[in-house]
Amino acid sequence: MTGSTAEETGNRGQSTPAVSQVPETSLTLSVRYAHTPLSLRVSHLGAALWEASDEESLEAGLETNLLLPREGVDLLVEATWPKGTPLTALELTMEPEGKASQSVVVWGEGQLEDVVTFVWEASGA
Amino acid sequence: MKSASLNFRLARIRVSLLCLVLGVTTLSAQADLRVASLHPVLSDLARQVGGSHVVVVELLKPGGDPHTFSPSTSDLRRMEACQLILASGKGIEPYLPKLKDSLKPGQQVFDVGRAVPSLTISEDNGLFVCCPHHSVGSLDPHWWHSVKNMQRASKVLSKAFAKADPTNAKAYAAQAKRYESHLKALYGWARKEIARIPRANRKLATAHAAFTYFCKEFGFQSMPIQGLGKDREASSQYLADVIGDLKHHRVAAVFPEAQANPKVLQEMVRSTGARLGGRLFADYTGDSKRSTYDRHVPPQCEYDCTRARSRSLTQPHIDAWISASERHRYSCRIGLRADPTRTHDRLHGRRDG
Repeated sequence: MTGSTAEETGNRGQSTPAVSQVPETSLTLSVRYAHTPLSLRVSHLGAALWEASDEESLEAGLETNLLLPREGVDLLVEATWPKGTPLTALELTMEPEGKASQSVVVWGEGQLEDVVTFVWEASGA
Repeated sequence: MKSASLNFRLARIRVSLLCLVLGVTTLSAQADLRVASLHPVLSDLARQVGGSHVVVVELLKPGGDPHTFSPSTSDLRRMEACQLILASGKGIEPYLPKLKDSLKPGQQVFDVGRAVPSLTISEDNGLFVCCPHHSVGSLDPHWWHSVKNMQRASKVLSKAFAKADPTNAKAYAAQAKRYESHLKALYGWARKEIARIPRANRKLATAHAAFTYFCKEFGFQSMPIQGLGKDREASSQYLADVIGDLKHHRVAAVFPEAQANPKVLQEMVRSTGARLGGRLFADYTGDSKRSTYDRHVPPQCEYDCTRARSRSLTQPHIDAWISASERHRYSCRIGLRADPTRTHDRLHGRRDG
């Protein structure tokens, strides 16, 4: 895996401050593939959070910090697979410190471009 | 003699061909379905799903107001040859029971909105500068602001058309499927663009409560600052209260509606320093040039979906798009969360007291 973290790419989507003022939360973002993709890009508010290419493993993850307002966050997931890969799934899991983990499965055939939303209730559930 | 016989045979062939042509024309005319539409968005949907097999009689024309429209005697006459009358439902056509009574055998009203889940206006899905108690519990009839709902409507309409005109059932199913793919691309594009706006900032300040479906679909909170009715006259006290709230919540932009008097909003905007955004087609009747679900888009909003140049998005999407592009300037950062209870108490304390 040749992934890069948000720190390496130089931003965490902080260019546009959210209205709700909340501190950043430390979290683990992990991904599971049914087929290894050629490329993966996860972005938040237009800024790359995770970029990877030529994945060899069916699982990968990174540690990062993100603002998690109670309204939730949208992540744009973009991936490409080698020609001939059938309809395949990608599972994205977010595990913020002190909050329950959440997973979303998205599907793509050859390529994928989808927005996944993570929202936590005030209780942290 | 031979020549006369040949002429006779040619004449017979001509007559046979003519009969064949006439017969085909008659069959085609019989296969065509005539539908009347009570809303321009339904007219557009019917054309997309029905294609050349459906003749659409528009009763409410682009530019009309569905909240005040009622079919005239001439509308009823135009409707006579229609098998289906398409209604939006959800209470936006209060004249429907009367209309149903006037139908002839073989005619029926098809409530397209019945297929989509209703949303009620509540504190959960809106920020009320006025107060939710003016409108809470009311059904928002503007279901077409959700692209997903339009996909669903396309499906049910193709089934209704197939039932009324079984000859063209396959064509209706195919055309509906094609249109749903188009809507799917539109939805994906809109989500991607809107993802650039922090969810916490997604507030849509408009005149009246007409965007519940759009807001729910794309994670916005609506701020209908004039409440339910776009033409509601605001008292000076109410105006002062709203201006105070907009200032207090640092509202950056307010979006007026087409077909509504923007005076009140302009006054609010002038007094608060907020910016006036683009006009929204809340009731979605557009104008004569841009009367389809697809065409409510300024030229600069062209996008490339499924690799075909397309210009498809609804007016709220445009605002989201504008917000995404210019969020640093005026965006959807309309302000902090309003406190409905505080606002309600303050407003009603003053009014009722």
